[in-house]
Formats: sequence, C-alpha cells, structure tokens
Amino acid sequence: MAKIATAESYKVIRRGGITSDRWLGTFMLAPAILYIVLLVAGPLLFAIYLSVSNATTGEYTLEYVGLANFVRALQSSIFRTALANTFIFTIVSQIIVIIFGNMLALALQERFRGRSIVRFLILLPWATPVSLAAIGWKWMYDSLYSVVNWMLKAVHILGPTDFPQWLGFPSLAIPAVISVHVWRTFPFSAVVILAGLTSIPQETLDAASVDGAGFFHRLFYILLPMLLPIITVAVLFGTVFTFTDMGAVYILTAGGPFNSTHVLSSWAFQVGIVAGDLAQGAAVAVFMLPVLLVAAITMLRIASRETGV
Amino acid sequence: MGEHEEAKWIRTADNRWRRVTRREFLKIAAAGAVAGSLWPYINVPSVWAQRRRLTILHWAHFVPGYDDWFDKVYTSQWGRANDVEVVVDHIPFGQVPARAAAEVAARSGHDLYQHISPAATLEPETEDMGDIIERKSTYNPKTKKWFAFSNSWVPDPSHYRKDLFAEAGFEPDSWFSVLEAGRKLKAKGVPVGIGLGNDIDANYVLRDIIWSFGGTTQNQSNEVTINSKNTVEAVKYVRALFKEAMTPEVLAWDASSNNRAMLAGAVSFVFNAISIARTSEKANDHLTRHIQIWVPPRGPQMLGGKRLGAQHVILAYMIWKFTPNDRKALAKKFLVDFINNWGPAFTHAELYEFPSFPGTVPDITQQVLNDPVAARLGQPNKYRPLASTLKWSTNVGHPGFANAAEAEIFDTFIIPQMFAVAATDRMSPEEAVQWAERQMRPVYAKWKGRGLM
Amino acid sequence: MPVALRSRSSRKIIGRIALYLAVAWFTFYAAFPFVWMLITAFKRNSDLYNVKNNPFLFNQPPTLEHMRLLFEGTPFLRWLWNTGFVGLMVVIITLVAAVPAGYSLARLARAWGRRLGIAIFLTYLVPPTLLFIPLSRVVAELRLQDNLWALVLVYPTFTIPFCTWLMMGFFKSIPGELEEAAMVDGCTRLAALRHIVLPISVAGILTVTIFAFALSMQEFTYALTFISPSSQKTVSIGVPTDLIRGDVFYWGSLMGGALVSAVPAAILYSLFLDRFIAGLTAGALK
Repeated sequence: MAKIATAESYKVIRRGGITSDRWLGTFMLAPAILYIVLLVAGPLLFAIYLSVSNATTGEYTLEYVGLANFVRALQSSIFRTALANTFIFTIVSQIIVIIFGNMLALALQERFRGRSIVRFLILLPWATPVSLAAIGWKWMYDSLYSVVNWMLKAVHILGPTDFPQWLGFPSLAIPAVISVHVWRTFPFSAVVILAGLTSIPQETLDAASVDGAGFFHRLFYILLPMLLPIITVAVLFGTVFTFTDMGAVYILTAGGPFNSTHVLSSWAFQVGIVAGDLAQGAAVAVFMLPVLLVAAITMLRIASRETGV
Repeated sequence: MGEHEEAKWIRTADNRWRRVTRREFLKIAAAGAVAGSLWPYINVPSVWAQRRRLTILHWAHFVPGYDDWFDKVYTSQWGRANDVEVVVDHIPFGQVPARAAAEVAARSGHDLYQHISPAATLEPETEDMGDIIERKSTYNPKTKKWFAFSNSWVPDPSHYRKDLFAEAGFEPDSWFSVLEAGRKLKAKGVPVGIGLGNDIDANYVLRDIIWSFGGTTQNQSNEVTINSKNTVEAVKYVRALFKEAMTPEVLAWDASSNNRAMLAGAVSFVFNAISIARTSEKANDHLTRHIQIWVPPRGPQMLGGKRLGAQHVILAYMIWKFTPNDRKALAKKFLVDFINNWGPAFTHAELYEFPSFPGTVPDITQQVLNDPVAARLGQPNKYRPLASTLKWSTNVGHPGFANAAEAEIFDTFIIPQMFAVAATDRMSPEEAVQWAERQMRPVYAKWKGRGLM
Repeated sequence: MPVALRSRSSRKIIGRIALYLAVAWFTFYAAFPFVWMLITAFKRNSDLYNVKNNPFLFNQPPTLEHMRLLFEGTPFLRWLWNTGFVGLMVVIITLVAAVPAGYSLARLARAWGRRLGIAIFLTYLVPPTLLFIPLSRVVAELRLQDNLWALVLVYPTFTIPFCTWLMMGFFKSIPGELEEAAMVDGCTRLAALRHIVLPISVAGILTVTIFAFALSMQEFTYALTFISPSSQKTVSIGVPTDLIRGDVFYWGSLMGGALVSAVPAAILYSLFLDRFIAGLTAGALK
C-alpha cells in the first residue's frame, strides 16, 4: 500500500523545489531538534560529566576524578546485584509480555460479547499513574492482608496455614516485581500487536485457512513472521519502560529484602540522591545508557528491515 | 551511673551540637530569657515595599491535625504579626532528600527546608545556624558549623501487648525477656515483630540492639567499629529472635507494616514512633487498652546492660546558602520565634515530637503523664515511659555524630541487610558483620576524602 | 464427510472456549487490582484490617469515609484538573514539534532522515533519574519552579522523540503521489501538507495525542522534584503525598484515588482505541 516517493519523483515535479524543500525541511525539524538539544542533550552531557566528578547533592565544586565512581560502583556487591536484576527483570518480563501480548491481541481481534468492556478493562493498567499502581500492588502483596494469598488459599493452591511473604524473600520478591512490570506493559504491547494484526491482509489469512492450515501452523508460519517488526516495536517499548523504571521496585520493595531486588535506577537514586553521593549515583545510572543504545538500535533495525523500507 | 552519662551525651549529640552548648542553651531557654536575647543580633529591615514572603517545606506529618495547625493557624498568626505571607508546602517523608537535591541543583527553593534526619551531606550548601543558637551561650563551638536547626525529634519506644506478655509471665524490660516471651507467644500465633527489611523502622531498632549489646557502628573519631564481638552477639541474638520468636513476614516489612500487624493483633512486640498507639486509640477497639508503650529493652548485663533507642526522626531545618540574605534573616527570625513558642506545637503533635530544647515546653512531663486521649480511654499511664525519653534516646551514629557516612550506611540499609542475611542463614553472624564492615569502610573513606568528616 | 464436519465444528467450539478462557485470564490480570481498589476504597477500616474476614465481602456496611477524605481532605479534584491540564499542554507542544518534524524526516530529509529519526528516538531512552538534577536548574532559571508550567516544559522531552519517530513512519505510509499531484497543480508543499496530508493523518495524530497524554500522566520523578505546593501537584504525586502520613497508609483513600484517576483515562483511551490502532498500524511499521 505504502509507496515511498523516491528522489527521482521529486526532481520530476519541481526542479527548483529541492533547495526550498531543504530549507522547509530544516525549518520544520527545528522545534523538535531544539527541544531535544536544549533539554535532553545538554542535561545529559552534564549528567555524564557528574559521573566522572566528585559532586555530592550538597556540593557542586566539580573535580574530575576519572573512572573512580565506576570502579567503586563495580566493587559494590549491591550494585552487581542491581545490574543483574535490571537484566533479569527486563528480559523475563518482556518474554512474558510478548507471549501475553500476542495471545491477547489474537483474542481481541475476534468478535465476542462484551468486547468493548474487555477493551476498557485491559486498558486500565496503562491509564494508571505508575506511582499509584505500584502502591496498589504493594497492598495486594501485603505481609498481613495479601489478597493474592487469600485467593490462592481459596482455590487450594496454598494450604490453610501457608502465607508466602511475597516481598520478603528474593525468590518471591523478584517474581512479584516482574508481575507488576508485565501488568503495566502487556496491555500496551497487545494494542501495538493488534495494530500489526489488522495490517495483515485478510486474503492472506483466508488463503492460509482454505489450505487447511491449522491454528498453530498459521500462527507460527504466517502470522508471527509477518508480525515480527511490530512485535519488535512493542518489545522495544516494554524494554525501555522496564529497564529504566524505578517506581515498581522503589515502591514495592525499596530494594529489599536485603538489597536483593534493586535495579540500576533505584540503586542510582538511593545512592545518588537519598544518600547524597551524586557522582556515584550518576555513574550507576550511566551504566544503563550503552545497553539501551545497543538494544534500541538493534530493534529499530529489525523493525525497519523487515518492512523493506 | 552509666545511664546518667548517656543522658548528658544524648541531649547533645544530634546534629553535631556539642553537649555543653546545648545544656547552656537549655538553661537559658528554661529561664525564659531566649525571646529577648537571641533576636537583636539579626536585623530585619522593618519597612518593605511589598509584602514579604517566607516559604517553608515540611514533610507530611504523622498527624494531619499538626499540619492543619501549623499551616493555617501558627504560620498565619506569625505572618500577620510580622507582615509576612508564609507559604508551607508538604512532601512525603521518603521524598525529602530528592527534593532537597533538586533545590540545591537549581540553586533556588524554599527559605526553610525541613529534613527528617540531619542530612549531613548537604552541609556545604547550608547557612550556618550558629548565630541563632550560640549568641548567648558562653561556649564556643570552635569551628563546627551548625548546618541545621533542629527544633524537635521523635522518640522510638517499644510497643507491646501487655495482656500477652503478662500471660507469658514476662515484662519486655530486657532483650532477653523479649526473646523468652516471644518463644511462648509465637507458639500462640502472636510472634515478636522486629523488621528486617529495607525500611526505616528496621534501620533504627537494629541499631538499638547493637548498642544494647555494647556494639557501635562507629566511634567518636568517625572510625568504623562495627566488627566487634558485641555486634556479633547482637546479630546472633536477632538470628535467634528471627528463628524462635518471629515469622518471615518481618523480612517483607516496610515502615507501615508493624503498625498494621500490631493493630490486627498479629504481633506482640514492635518498635515504632507512637503512631501505633495513636491509631489504635482512634479505632478504640478491644486491643486499644492492651497496647502499651515501653522503654527500649536493656541489653545483657554481661555486655553492659545498656538501654538505648534511636531518635526516630530528627526534624532539622536548613537554610540554603543561595537564599537571598533578607529571606535568610526572615527565616531565622521565624525559627527563633517558633522555638520560643514551641509549646503549642508539642501539644498539636500529640506527643509524637519531643523538643530539642526541653525548656521550650516547661510542663512537658505533666503533659506526657496526662495525655487527654489516653486518660479518656482509661490508660492514664500509657505514655509515661516517654517522660524518660531523653535518658534513653540517642542519634544514629552514636557515640559519634550523625555524619555523611553514617547517613549513607543508613540510607542504603547496610545494617538491616547484615542482620537479615545472618537471620536467614545466608551468612554466619561473623561473616555478616565482616561483610558490613567491608561495605562501610569505603563509604567512610569516600566521605572523609570529600572533607565532610 | 460428517466426520470432517463434526471435527471442524468441535474444533471451532474448542477455539471459542480457548478464546474466552484467554480473554477471561487477561481481563482478570489487568483489572483485578482495580476490583481490589474498589473494595478497599469503600470498606470500613475495622472490616479491612481484620485478617479473619473474607476480603471480598462487606462484613460491615460500606463507608464513604475514605472517599470523603480523598475529596474533602485533599485537593484531589484540583490534582485531577492539573493532570489534565499538563497532559493537554504537553500534547499541544508535542504535536507542534513532532508533526512537522516527522513530516520533514519522512519527505524532505531523505538520505539522513532515517538515521536522524533513530537518533531522535534514542533520546527517549535517557532515564529521568539521570536528568532531573540538571533539569531542575533549567526550570529554576526559567522561574518555573513549583509551577505546573515546569512540567509542561519538561514532559515534551520524552514525548517528542517517540512521537516524531511515530509520525515519521506514519507520513511514510501515505503515498507521496498525493502531494505531488497537488503540487503539480500549483499548490505549495505547505498547502499540500495542510489540505491533503493532514486530513488523512488524523489517526496518526490521534495516536500521538494519546501516547503523549498517557506518558505525561504516568510521570513521577519530575513532578516530585519540581513541584511542592499542594495546589500545583498532579495526581501521581498528590495522592501519595497527602495519603501516606509518616508510617500510616490511608489505604482506602489511596486506592480510591488510584481508581478515580485511572477510570476516566481508560474510558478515553478505549473510545479512541480503534483510531489509535489504525494510527499505529501505519506509523510504527514504517
């Protein structure tokens, strides 16, 4: 459907238009670029500079200290845990999100009774400010009144005297944090994937169906390959949201029990802002950048290559 | 007597205030000489072209009524008397450091910034408060800068179930008897609850236990002293308490969990500011009359038998250096006036807050012993243990100062982690203490290197 | 023949059951926290804090006390209004910056367009934890501290990058011939953009609108550090500030606040969902 205007077609239309187009292009791009340069790039460079300085929240007489903050960060066992957790939380939650997002998108594509109500309910997590949502989940995993435990008891998954402390042991707190990340991001992924599904021509699906292809055959050999670029977009967003998010961990566990659930952003906040070692906090946060950069570029490549642009 | 020594030290230790200075000041305050004598040295021009403004940042207080009184009654009266428009903003206690960091970075913010801990790291950007404290005192605090002004702090007593402890045949007067009673009470389904998670209450009470066992985290010369036999004993004690008298829920606790557990009748002994007792009085159910406040338990006699509790919250006002001079002066005037009229604040804070200068509330003991709510509910002696709070309260960092390194250790929950890994057998008590020491040393070295200690 | 028929219809039934099960599970997962919020918000404390009670039943009559505290004891309506206002302003700024930029990258920039598009997108990745310290200085210099306009200024830093990228994809999906035809007829490019491209880009613009609004409603770190007066707060910081008092959580009112702020936004999003999907289909795939 989409045919891109090539350079030739412009030339054919207006010989003199190219220079004016260039000016127009620059002019139209200017507000966005200005905004980004002034309010993101500038502050970002300053933040990176903080990470190689000895700044504290109370003192900005900056001295260059080289990589000392990075070395010190790496020496801390809590930092190493946080680094590992950041990857674990992101990767595990995004794998679950892809599966859930696909299933939900496939389901929402069908017509069924109550579809509009279901669509509304599914969108709720996305419409809740994360600070409030995390407080809600904290309440559900409460050490005394956990409604999750109550339900698990009611369906006899838990015995009458069991009361797992969701936020008390690393083996439970990590899944608990992941459950919140999945909950926050899967509705959005489903919507994005649904958008991808609607773009697949019905004839393609019908043809496959007539050939007698079963559901799973269709899913794995026709749908998923066609959906790959859009799934990549969904995953990219989920990854950015999860990788940089501090709220879920900070509100749910505050990094506990025994600092086993910190992620880079919560640890950066704890050390850099709460404890006041701004330079150290900046160094911890800067660790996120290369990873995000590589992940984003790779995913954007996949997303655009697959569509043949 | 040991306890008396403690008392003298305690009164002075928070916010780096030297003992003698503080005592001198107390005398002056008690004599009622403060109001006239402190002020004349700070001049505020009395004629202003436009109405002056004073902005204050407070945490969201435990007691909503306190904020109502401070925001709407006290500050508006003061404002009228001084022709100043006073604006008070509130943020949650967990977010106080973040907003402070942003104000310093912005070099603009509130004229008076109230912290809930001494926040020593911010020292370079704060105004010296020496002039409003020191003027009339004979003591010269050398070059020590008074980077904050604390008008009050919050005691951290224990709360226990009188009925259950009586049944078990114990008083929670020593940590030993807490363990003994806890063993019996856990069997009855009402264990002890000492938090071991990443939460502020755990941070305080676990320090209490270290101190009661004769250990310290640092000494007066800012050296790490955590790795001692005493600390190991304290860790062993908490491990035993965790296994024999508590349930795993304490690993998941945040600052509000011990409140809920106590109010639900699910635990028999916790440590907290008096919010549990106060909340329970509002509910006024069958548990209210069984919940009793108590002093911190004593440590083992053979390890010194100390009785110490951390000051739960230290409310400390800061004035930023970058604030314009006229507003600095105005802010200091506000503080001096406030501290000289702190009596009503004490009453409105419902015994949560205690004055840093006891002279400002002359009838403090009377008020503690005659709390109207407790009396109405038939427990006139409920808050009696708070009358001795000056004797058993001390600052985080005891016996040293609440310095930047202590603050970072506190804020990164190293002490709760040390106890929790030992309690759950991830490390032996000795290993856990060594681990904590390894975490602490670089932090001390770092802050010393930055010239703050 | 009948065998095949039966198997086909039974397969259909199984498929239907699987569909309903899947929908039921996902709806439960997404919406359960809100059910729990709803129950908490109307329960008496003495009922709520009783471990022996069935948490789903009202063992004592429901109470409006938590809602009263939320609406009368805090400026909650003001926070809702502020949230909406900031969201709307952010949307406007985002559109003004991102729509032309997206068009420029799609049509005019050509060779370096995609690379620049990716570069712009990447700025979206910079976490607020890293930026709020330097930005607070910027906000103060502009005298916007403690003012809603600070958020209006700062939030586009994370909405513009993504929305530009999305609009770029969206414009690429519109055949260039449409404008070319108009331009051959003597239209300028800007006129072609206005009269031909924009009207068929409604879905894309709507997508960007919803996305920008949702992101600005979610934000926490900047709102917390730039705004302290109660009257200027947004929902995401106002509710936790006024309803967590030291170590006492007002659970009923907290949950009520979360629920009341989520529902209108979710209704809004679901009304526009089809348009949103259409916009994404075109925009995110290019």
